[in-house]
Amino acid sequence: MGFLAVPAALEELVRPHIDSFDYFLSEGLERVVQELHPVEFEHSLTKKQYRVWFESPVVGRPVKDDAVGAADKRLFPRDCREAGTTYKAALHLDLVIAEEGAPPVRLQQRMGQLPIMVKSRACYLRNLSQPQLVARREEAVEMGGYFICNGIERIIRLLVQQRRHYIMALRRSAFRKRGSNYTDLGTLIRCVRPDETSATVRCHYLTDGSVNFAFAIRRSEYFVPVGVVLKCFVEVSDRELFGYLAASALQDAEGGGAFVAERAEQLLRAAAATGLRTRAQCLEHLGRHFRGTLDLPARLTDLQAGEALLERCIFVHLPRPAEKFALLLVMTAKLLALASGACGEDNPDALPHHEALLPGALLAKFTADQLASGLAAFREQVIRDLERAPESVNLRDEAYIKRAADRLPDIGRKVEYLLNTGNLGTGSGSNIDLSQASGFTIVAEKLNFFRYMSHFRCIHRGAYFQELRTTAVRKLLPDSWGFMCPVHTPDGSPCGLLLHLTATCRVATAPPGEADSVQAAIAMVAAGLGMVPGAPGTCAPPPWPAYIGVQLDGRCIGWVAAGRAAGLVAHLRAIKAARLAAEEGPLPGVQYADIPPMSPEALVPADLEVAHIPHERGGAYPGIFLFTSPARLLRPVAQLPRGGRELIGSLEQTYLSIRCPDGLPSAGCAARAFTHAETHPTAMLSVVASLTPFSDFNQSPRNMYQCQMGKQTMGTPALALQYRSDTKMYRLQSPQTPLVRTQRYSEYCMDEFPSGTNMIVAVLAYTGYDMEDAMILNAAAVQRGLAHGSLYKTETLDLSEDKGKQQVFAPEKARSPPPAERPRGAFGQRFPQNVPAMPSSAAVTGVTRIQPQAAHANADRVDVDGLPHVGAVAYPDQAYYSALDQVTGRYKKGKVKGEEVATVEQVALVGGGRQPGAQRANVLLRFNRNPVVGDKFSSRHGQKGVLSQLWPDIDMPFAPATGMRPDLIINPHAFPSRMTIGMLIESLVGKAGALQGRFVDGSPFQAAAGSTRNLTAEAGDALEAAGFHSLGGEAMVSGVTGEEFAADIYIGPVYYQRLRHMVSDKFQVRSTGPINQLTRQPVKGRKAGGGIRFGEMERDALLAHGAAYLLHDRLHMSSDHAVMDVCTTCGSLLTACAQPSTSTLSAGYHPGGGARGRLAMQCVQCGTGRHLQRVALPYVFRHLVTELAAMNIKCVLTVR
Amino acid sequence: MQRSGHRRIPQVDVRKLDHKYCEFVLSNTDASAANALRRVMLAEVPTIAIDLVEIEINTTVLNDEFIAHRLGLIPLVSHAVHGMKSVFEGADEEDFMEVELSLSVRCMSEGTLDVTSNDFLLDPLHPEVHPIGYVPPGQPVDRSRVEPGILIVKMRRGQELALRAVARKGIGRDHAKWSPVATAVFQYMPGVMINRALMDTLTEAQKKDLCASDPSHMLEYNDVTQQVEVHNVEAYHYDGECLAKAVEMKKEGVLVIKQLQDKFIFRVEGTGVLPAQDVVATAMDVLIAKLRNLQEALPQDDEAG
Repeated sequence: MGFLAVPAALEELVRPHIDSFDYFLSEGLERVVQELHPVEFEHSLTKKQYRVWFESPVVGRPVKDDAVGAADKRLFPRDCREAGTTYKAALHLDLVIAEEGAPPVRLQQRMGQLPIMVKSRACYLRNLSQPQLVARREEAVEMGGYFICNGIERIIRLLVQQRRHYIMALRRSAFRKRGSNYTDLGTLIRCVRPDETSATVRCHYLTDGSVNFAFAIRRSEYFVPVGVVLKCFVEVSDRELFGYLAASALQDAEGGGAFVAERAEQLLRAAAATGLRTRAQCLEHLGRHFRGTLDLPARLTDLQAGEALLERCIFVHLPRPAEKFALLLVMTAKLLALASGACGEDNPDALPHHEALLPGALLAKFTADQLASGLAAFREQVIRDLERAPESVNLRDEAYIKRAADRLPDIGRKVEYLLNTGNLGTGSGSNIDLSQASGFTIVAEKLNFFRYMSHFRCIHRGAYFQELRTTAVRKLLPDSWGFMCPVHTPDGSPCGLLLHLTATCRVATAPPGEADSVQAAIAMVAAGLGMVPGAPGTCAPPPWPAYIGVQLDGRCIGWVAAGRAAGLVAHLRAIKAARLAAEEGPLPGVQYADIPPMSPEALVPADLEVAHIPHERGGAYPGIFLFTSPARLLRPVAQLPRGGRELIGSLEQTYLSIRCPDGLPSAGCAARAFTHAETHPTAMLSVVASLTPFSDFNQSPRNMYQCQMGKQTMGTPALALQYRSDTKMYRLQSPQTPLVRTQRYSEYCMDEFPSGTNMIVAVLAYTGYDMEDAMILNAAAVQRGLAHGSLYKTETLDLSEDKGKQQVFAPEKARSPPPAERPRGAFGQRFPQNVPAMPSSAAVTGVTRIQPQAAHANADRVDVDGLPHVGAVAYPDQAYYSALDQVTGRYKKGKVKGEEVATVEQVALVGGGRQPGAQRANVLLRFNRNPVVGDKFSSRHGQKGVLSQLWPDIDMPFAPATGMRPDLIINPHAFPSRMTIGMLIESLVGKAGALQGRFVDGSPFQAAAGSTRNLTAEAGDALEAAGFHSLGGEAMVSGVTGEEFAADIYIGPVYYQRLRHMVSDKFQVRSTGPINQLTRQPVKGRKAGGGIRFGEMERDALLAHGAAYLLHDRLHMSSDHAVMDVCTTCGSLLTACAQPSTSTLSAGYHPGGGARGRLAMQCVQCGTGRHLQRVALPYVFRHLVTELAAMNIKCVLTVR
Repeated sequence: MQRSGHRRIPQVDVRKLDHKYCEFVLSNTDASAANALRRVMLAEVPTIAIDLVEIEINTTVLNDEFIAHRLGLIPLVSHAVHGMKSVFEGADEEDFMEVELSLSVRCMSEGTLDVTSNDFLLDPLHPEVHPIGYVPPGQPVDRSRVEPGILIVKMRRGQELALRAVARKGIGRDHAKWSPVATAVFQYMPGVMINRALMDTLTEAQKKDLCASDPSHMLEYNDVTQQVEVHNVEAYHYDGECLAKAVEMKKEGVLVIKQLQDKFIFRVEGTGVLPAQDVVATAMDVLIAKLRNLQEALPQDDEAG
């Protein structure tokens, strides 16, 4: 047997997560540490300057803390899952302290343990084969991509972010609030440092025609006239600036040139008004104002402070001032173009302007922030020590450094907190350029594989938009075609915000290695293809629209003549395709561009995004925008005419002509030809959506419903069930593989985790029990095991949780023989039991019968070690384990919660506690969940229904030709309005497939993909050959009367899913039960055994029907019915008191002594009990009267 | 009770009969009687099936209930059922009510071990009650000739299953495991009448077309006589295709197809638990017993009228 690897298709699904985390572990952390600004301080005695920073981060591998001796010290994910611990590895950093004029002191510092993503490079499961994974007690197809926190699998969810390094032109009314003369126009760019931290800057257009530049420091905004900022970067005269700005205008007949020239003059005037003329003046001005805000050391001059401001806050992705200057010129030019109408605004809700926030990027941002605050805390500690006892501070002494370094944060714990709660935590977040502070992580529920898988593919728009009242952000825009699945989004509040990536969509997870040389190579290639190198600010830009600018990752690298742009782009695309073929293997029969190995072309990354925005008046600002940055969404399409694959980005796609397989033959007009083609029609679907067979025949909302219901299906959650300790799991007992499946079904190994049953479904109205989306199941089919399932719950027994007690698991001593009576449920009913054998039968008396030796209590459930027997059956409220408190000698009994009978499936002891002896155990309990009336089922076409009857087999209709009785009956009214034709086709072709003994390909859009097969006609022929009607109908006979139905019945196999919503979890019923102590009315809540509110409107309904008795029963007898005494003379409800009668007094007090000792009721006010009347009233009325009395209001009742 | 002077005498004409399959034509009665017979065969012919399982050891991958449920569905040869009483009929302890089977298997080898119905140890008092196709453990088995037994569970090394199973008499109405048949079904005999006069107006091609139009190939064109003949009337499944063809040819009425309301083809597919013949016969007995019960329960004075 060869190396059986985890299927590549599955690994591809989680790749964005794992690759991103891998990048974080390797380069990401390194970059974070490099980008961190050292803290500086001065020793008050020696007057020496110190600088402190971090270096060389190292993440180890997960190890067990408590492994003894030569035992395997490796900590595996399975250990963490079962023990409820976190899968983490130590993080070490070098703390470096440099004294002025002395070699730096280096001290390795442990910063806690960093949670490790499963199957990342720090995980032991990486690159294991399937048998090796199984040996490690994992799923054979374990994909990884999640963290294990306290035994729970959690994922950092992808989030939508604004695209980095792309200038956006926006019209936002909020911009007006920035000041009195601000307009709603602005341009904005989000700049990202190499360590993934980001800073957004804006240009605002003012009503007087000038422009203000805005940047943020710790969430506070600062505004500076753009002219001042422009002068900060390079030494430039006003005349030169005017030239640059005026030349950037659109030269056309509309007079855009004059407009821009006027505004350029205006903004230079505004800058001149500040009196700052030279570069030094501008920088000093800014430095003076911001050195405090930036907390810069005193030794820096104002000029240096100004330079630091530019470096840290403005265009942080560009290292050189000249590049920043060029970019700011373009930003201003775009703003003026927007104001003049030469270009239109960009839609911030459209996918082209988005990228994904990846787990690695979030962690990088987070650790950068934590480390920065840690360094600050270290400095503060040292400064405090210097103030208190300067002589004790010796920064060359390791002991002192160690003590001071205690103030450094435990990064591991902080990250763990982030993963556990999804919150950034207090204090942080303010420095992180993110729109939300919580909701970053979710639990990867293993309810079934559909749900589990889609966690990794989901991408959220951001918590901020959830509360937004406008629905514009939720709109499905054509721009997201191919990247976001149009089908797979939930309905309800997250609709349109929580989207799922298509199956083919990838995410760029890391910048290219050697980023500088790659960028130089790209620039060189572009220059070779007709780009004029140069940037605004170095020379006057050539006129627009004859020339358009070229930007690479937010850096202006040149211009290209508009006529040559298309050729340049086409060449770049050919290189991209060749590079992709070199990386992933070429497609057969495709001619690729020839790339010499040492040429700059060989350095062009395959995922380079080449967005060519041609000039169009009022359209987006033209240019060629190249991106190599991470976090971009990418997808493969075919290049025409050669057919090679190319990865395209979302901004790029908007300006491409991509042919859809069933689309038009030409791209709208004859002049434009298609340059690309979709690889497959299902490329636009997510994994879950592409598992619906014949979804192209269904009304689209039904496919959305199926995406939801597929994720709620009871199926096979995992195969390594015994090595997991999930709190709740549903499992279908005998699931089947669907007869009709799509191609993706086998691609994603869905047969490993089947989640439904092929049922013979008849479409007919029968018995009335199939009205209104109810469905009838054949009782015999259910008795034979159809849709049987169980619910698994893990109870974690942890004795060490009871603080201050010394407990061990131990059986309780038997006091008396166990009671013969069977336990009763909360409502007093007996639980269903097997019919017992005759008392004298061998089953009871025989020697082979296992007689629990009653040496200890509950011996039929609890074993001699105090833990339950495997296979023991425990009824509600029965003890299934016991523990002995060694101090008090008392026993603690663990009882089964809930209303259901539990069976013990597995008992697993968990080691690792400090106390001797077993302290923790995971008990897996199993609950029977076979179908009962009220359970929910659905087909794969959004046709859900509730089981209304288990109908006897003999009463079911039958087909006289074959003797078949349907498993399930669904009402024909379920179809006309919902138009789920896919289900009917599934039934028809499934029937043919079943008769021929083959699976049927139900992939959507088969015709569009080039198939000329007519599946329904083929199925019809097959049916006819087998002696059935070609349209799927059959004559059927009523099982009750034996008479044939007038119509033929449509019958065939349909794959049905059993949904997790079951009556057993939801039913709520009570006659009497727990009450509220104050009002004596029933409490609410299913868990508390309470009732369902019978409210005002319900009361009205009963009144309207004149159902007085029912009303009385509901609102009085079953509620707070109470009998009380009213004094008819004084009319008081409260004065009746129990008084010992005189005869009782004389005879002495006899509590409970029958009639003789009874207390007589008396009105204390009237002094007699003679006029007391017993009345029945709601108790809450008495409560009202009492409260009124407390407010000095008397309430008098007149009793007639 | 003979209200009318006409009394039908139902007839049974057995066409095929072997151990597992019985096909007969029931004629001279009506649908209600035929359906009653069908229902009784499905649900009220008693058989023996495992009803109570006491699991001693189960370290297999399947849980106790699942195994118990599977055991219940194993067909047991039920000839002995006639001498048995069900738990509802049992009157005293002497009654023959239970058969006890046991199973004890442990996998000692590498690889997968199939635990099948052949691993059962039978009740020494009632060896005639055994799973169908049963070969006692230890007996040399010619794998090629004998069916491999019904799979209960698969085991890996070290797993063990030990249990006692009590089989009881029961009927399919209580649980499908007691149903003696895979299916028992009746079909109305189609009655096809050809209007010869009208048929003669058709051309040969039209006649052939008419024959070809029926997917069940009920009609056949006889080249010798040049007539359309009814060839296999029972194959017809009321799809109306040939009638539609006749209408299309503007020869409506050339064929008239009706269901005969007093003639039924019964097909009984047994599970091997009881011989098919036995199932039919017992079903008749049950039906007769029911009728007798009803007759006894009816007011006696009715007889006078």
